[in-house]
Amino acid sequence: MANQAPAALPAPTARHLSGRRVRQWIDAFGMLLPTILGVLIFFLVPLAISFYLSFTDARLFGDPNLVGLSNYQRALSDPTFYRAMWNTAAFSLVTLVVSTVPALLLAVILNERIAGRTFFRAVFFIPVVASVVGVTLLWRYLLNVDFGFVNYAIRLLGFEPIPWLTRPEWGLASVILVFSWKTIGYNMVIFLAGLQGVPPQLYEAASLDGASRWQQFLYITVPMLSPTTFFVLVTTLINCLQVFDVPIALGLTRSNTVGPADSMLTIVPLLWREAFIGGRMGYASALAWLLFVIILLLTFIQFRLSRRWVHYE
Amino acid sequence: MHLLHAVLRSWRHAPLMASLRDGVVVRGKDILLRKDLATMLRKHTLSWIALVALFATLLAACGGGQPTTGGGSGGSGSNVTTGGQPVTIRWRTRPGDAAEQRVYEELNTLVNEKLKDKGITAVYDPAPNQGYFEKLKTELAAGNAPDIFWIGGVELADFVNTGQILDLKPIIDADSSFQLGNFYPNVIEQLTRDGKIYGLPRDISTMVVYFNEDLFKAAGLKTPKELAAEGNWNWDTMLEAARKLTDPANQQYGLGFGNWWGPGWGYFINAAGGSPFTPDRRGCALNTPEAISGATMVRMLYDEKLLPAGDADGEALFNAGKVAMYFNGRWFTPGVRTNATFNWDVAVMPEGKVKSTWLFWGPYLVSAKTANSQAAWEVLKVLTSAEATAKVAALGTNIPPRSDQEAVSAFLASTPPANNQAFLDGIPYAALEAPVWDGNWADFSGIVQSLWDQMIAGQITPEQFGQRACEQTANTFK
Repeated sequence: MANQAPAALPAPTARHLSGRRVRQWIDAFGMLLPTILGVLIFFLVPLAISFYLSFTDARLFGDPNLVGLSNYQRALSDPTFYRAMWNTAAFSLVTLVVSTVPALLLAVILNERIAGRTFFRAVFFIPVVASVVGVTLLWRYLLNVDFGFVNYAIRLLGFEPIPWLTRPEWGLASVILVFSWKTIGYNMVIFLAGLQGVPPQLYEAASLDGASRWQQFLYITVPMLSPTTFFVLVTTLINCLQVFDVPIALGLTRSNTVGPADSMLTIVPLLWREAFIGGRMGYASALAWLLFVIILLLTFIQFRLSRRWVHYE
Repeated sequence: MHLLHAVLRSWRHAPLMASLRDGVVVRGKDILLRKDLATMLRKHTLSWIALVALFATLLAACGGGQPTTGGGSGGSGSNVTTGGQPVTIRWRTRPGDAAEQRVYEELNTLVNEKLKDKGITAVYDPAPNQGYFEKLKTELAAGNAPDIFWIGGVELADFVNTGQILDLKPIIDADSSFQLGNFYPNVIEQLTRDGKIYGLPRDISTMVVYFNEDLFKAAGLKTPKELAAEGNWNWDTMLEAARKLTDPANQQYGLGFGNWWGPGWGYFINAAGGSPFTPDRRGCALNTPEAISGATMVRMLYDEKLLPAGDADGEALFNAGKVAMYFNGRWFTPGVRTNATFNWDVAVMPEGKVKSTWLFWGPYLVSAKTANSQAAWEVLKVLTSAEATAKVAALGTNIPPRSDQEAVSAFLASTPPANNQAFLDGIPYAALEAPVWDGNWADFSGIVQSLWDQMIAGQITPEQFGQRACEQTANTFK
């Protein structure tokens, strides 16, 4: 209907056409405006302000003064910053493996025609849609050393209970556990989508040629899935570097340490603590921009490396 | 651009993305819109409606947050409202559990009964333990903090130094019905600085030993209360009882206390004859031999597993009858009353090298940005009145900040515990919780707690704890 409307009108003059164009432009712009305003007000403007603040001594109260690069210098000489960097690196490295390899295995299994396939897919996806803070608080109970269910099970098996949340050396492991539990389901769904894009005739041809299931997985599934794997790795790494809610909900104490002896302190919780407990907005902004540079670098490296192992048909 | 291209390439193979691509937006190199979308776009009215709706939403969101402000801060006489408009005053505390929150909800009802005639409505707005101060500071910076809020006494300097708190001195001087002398003078002294008075105390509390009488009786041991009456309640007798009442097979602990400065590095270092601060409170004293001996004592308690690790876990275990002795303030009482199914009582803290306990207290402060300071003062007066503090004390949650007989009697009569006197016995020798005017308490306590955690976990020695704590906190003082 709409497409035919112009034909029914008299031949458009140049003026008429431009009027129409303007109206179309207004329409399009009007439709886009909510998004443009949203991005401006809630993203670009705060971004610019935080960049400016990172060069000032801004505090929660009072006016900021320019201080040059001293916030950045301070970060690079602050042992707590290095401690948070180390925690973030260790957390990201382990989580990258723990939350992707099981996800791939689950996806491969749940891509087969097995009984209850839909049910299990839903089960593994439930943690993704559950509220982080809610389930993390539940994990606090589950992991409690004295009355948690996890340690109850460990005791039944005849082992010593694990002080998940009360000893510094176990703090980061607990964060990895809860974060991976929440992330595996999401990665699994992405892998499932990727698996369904692999043409079945490749497997048919391979099995006719006598390839075993394992060979099929290694020489068909893995290479065909490499773009998906790459996407999963990039997004998981970025989510790991920016982790905030799990360590805070799992480990924040009334002294504002994150986990015993700050063992769960990663970069974003440190940034938050500097901003809202220390009141040092300028320093916290500098930390945010340092994190941005680190993520940018790591992502760039991932893209360069990807040329060696990601195959686009 | 390169990155973006690569991301798009990596997505190309995901069927989810493919359906989006083929069905809706991109076809070849041209951007086409589906028929129905194109029809919609032609109808100008629709986009204008969307625009107007958007602006309306934005305006409403920006203007929100201050539903009821009563107008000017003037107003004299009994009616503090302007133009007959009712005034709403929002106030906040940090209840430790549901039982404590109910106590303050009842107090709010009392305030509203008292101030009904003055056209003032009080709204109780509690906030949880975790993140209490971040929330409060963010609200103060944004200008939508509660009119009246509670903080711990030790936090005071941070709020006053940044100009967030209203000086009550002129209002107090102008109000002949108000007697400042009814409050404990040492606490009022802490709230006074340069002739200005910042807030009024909500309550005080010493720290005591909550003990499970049944566990002591079953083991044939003298209770802390009995030992204290004999003058034999000290770290030796405490250790003896804790060891005898610890039973790992039964997941039972002889002792328990939260892992924070109050019962942790505060009490043990004070009772060992040390102090976290130098006498002028302008420096760290955690590296003195006395402080280190206090830390060594706690390290031993954790090494022998006489108490549950973790911060708040011990409270739940005490209430479940799995901890024999628990160090805590009066705020723990409502929770024990609600949950404990055994006989329990309290006693003074055991004597270390010296007698010690804390005198915790916390003021209600009035925000400097309150829209109606006179109405806020009326609410504050009721909240800290003898009647209100007696009522709260009767419900068990705290000790009145004032020495009027009405308030003190109500507190003593609020049982269990039978031995309420123990809370008052400690007052003469207690260390008073005090603001750190020449330092940054949040930074100091965070650094010390992190090192303390390492010390009790056995990662560093008590000596290293003291040494590093004073090194690393050096620049948290002015």
